[in-house]
Amino acid sequence: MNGEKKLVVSHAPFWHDGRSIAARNYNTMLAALPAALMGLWIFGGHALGVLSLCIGTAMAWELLLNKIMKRPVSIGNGSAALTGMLLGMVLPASAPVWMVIVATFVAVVLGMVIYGGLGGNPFSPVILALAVLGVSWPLYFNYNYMLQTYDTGFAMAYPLAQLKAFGPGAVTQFSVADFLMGKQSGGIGATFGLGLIAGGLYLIVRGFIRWEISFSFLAGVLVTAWLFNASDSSAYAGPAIHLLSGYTLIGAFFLATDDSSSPVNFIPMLIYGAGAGILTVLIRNIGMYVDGVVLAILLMNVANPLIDAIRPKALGKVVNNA
Amino acid sequence: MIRRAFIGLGRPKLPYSPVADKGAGSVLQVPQPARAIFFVDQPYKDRAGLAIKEGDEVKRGEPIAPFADSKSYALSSVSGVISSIEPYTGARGQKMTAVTVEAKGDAWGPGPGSTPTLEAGLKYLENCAGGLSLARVADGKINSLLVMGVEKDLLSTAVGQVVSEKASSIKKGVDALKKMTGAQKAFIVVPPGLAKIAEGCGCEVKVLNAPYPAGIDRLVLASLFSVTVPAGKSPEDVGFLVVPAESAAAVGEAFSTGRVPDEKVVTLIGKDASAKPLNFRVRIGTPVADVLKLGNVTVNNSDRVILGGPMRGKAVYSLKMPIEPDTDAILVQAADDLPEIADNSCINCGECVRACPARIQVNMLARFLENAHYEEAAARYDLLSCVECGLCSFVCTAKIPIFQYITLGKHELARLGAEA
Ligand code: SF4
Ligand code: SF4
Repeated sequence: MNGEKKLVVSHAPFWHDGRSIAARNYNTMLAALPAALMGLWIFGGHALGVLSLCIGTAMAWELLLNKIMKRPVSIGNGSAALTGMLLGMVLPASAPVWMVIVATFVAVVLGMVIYGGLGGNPFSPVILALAVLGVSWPLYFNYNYMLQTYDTGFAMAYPLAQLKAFGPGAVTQFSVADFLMGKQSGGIGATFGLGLIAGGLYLIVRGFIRWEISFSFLAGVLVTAWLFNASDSSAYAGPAIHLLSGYTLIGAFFLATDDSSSPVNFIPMLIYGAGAGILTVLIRNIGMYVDGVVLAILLMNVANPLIDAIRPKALGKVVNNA
Repeated sequence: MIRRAFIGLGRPKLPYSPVADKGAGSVLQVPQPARAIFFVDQPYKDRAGLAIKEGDEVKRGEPIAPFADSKSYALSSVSGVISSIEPYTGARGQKMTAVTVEAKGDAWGPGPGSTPTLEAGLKYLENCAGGLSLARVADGKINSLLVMGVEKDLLSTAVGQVVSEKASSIKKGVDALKKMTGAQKAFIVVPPGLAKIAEGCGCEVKVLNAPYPAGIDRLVLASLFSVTVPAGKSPEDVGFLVVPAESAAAVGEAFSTGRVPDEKVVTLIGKDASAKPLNFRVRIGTPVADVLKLGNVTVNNSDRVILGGPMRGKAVYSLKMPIEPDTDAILVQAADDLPEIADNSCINCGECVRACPARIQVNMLARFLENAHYEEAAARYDLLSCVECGLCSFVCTAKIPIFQYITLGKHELARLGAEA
């Protein structure tokens, strides 16, 4: 048109506050880094191999699926890398290569891509992969078996397994300080309590995860463990070991908070978190599994759509009670 | 652009602009345009249905009603000759008619007289400065006037300017509107900085001390009056006539001078975020280019020019587009300031749900709208409760244009309703 400027036209709003999926994922990876690094320090080269392979294959699966399905390449947003990283952190350092590849396949392909990618997944991809592998190859999640050759300089009996097999008397050797400093057996990035808490708080303060879920999860674990312990302290351990060992902390701050499979409303978030926390301890104390975090979160993932239907009434909503 | 803070808890904090400095020279006068464009809110069908034609003369303040079978009109702000009558599609898909007038002379047309009646209002004051709408007064029972002395969007200071300058006109307008509508009560909502001045407006003053989007009429009714407008209804349905402060002043002046004011105040926000926004007094229908020229704002290719504010405004494709009666601001964005929009799917982060002032489950709503399930979106996920603040798009992690989907959804729903 005669010298008229070509303007860009779009719909309001014309501002955006700068959030992005990529920033969210990379910040979550950053938050998980201290715990992951501690795992590498403790478990050494093999742990590095597992973690790298996890991240690498998770991204490779997504890229492959992007190509096969002729979709835009989406690995740049970091969600596959994050999934791989978190998955690596909950595997034993001695996980064999085939197991890593199967795990990332389950997480990325069966856990995310077939539901239409990030955001469509009804389960936390990492939790789904853990559940599938744990049921299929339970021996590979038996930390006492998997880590038996490791000489770390501290007690390498898996606390939750000791608890399950021999009762609370068998776990008095563990101290809270050791748990917090990562001096315990467990998944590569799941043992450094302090690192996980610091990472979780960072994510909460930055608004990348919903604090309601993490806190109610931990509260659920705490209260349930305490009740069991109060009812029979010779049969059930106190809350400390439940809070600080196994997958509790990584579950509370990194797994239960998976965006797509958790609620967004206030009350539902509390129900979801507390439910997962309570189930975790129930499974550990009276169920058949050593650790209950995976199954507990998976069950709450299933219940999520129902729970999240509890929502405030929208402005001006007309309720027909006919 | 207001970015998210490092600490990301809570809702976004978006304060309205403080009330502008008053005094001489604070408002610049834009000269009468050589050509003005007016939009009439009726679809253009064919030439046969027109009651006016090119070459017809109009005067200032005169209603231009283009159709033989409809009373819809636009108020001319210039005296001159009609040069074109064309179909026009609004930014939200509304089918309208654009009438262009070439200015010549300065004569005033007939006015509403000095007796405030609803009939005179409907004939001369519909869509006057500020964008007054009286169309629903006749069939609704109005018992209160709600004069909006708060800005419609961020950055604009135009409404504050009007309230601080024109309290006495607003008072006259409120008295007139009470007579016209039968309303018993009148309230004016203002930011804290205008509370004192607003006492001269002849209304009960309600101070709104809250950040955006608290100033949107439905939210004001909910927060200050505990009145909820049912989804899909309008404030008139609950007895409130919402009157922009500028319209109240225009009504006041119209009945005291016999002439309907044809100017309005517009805030110009240029590309340089640090420069102070300026207020202009401009004839309605003036091309945006005239205001930009006076404000020394240059526009380049790939920039964006927005009528209204950053959250609720509408981008125009040409600088010939006119200032409309309800245009409170012009915002110019440089090409490299434009935020990106993406076709990601929702990751369910819940930011939109926390930001939404209407308590809508926007994450679910977005899913239904993306797949064009408009009726379900309205029935199950409260599409019609949306007050159109734009915050959901503003915070969306996936950068989904949710607000656009919402507008489209409402538009399609209205169309389906009209066909049924
Ligand atoms: S525009 Fe978005 S945030 Fe604002 S009321 Fe509508 S749905 Fe809610
Ligand atoms: S902000 Fe965007 S990505 Fe997050 S829940 Fe809402 S629509 Fe989905």
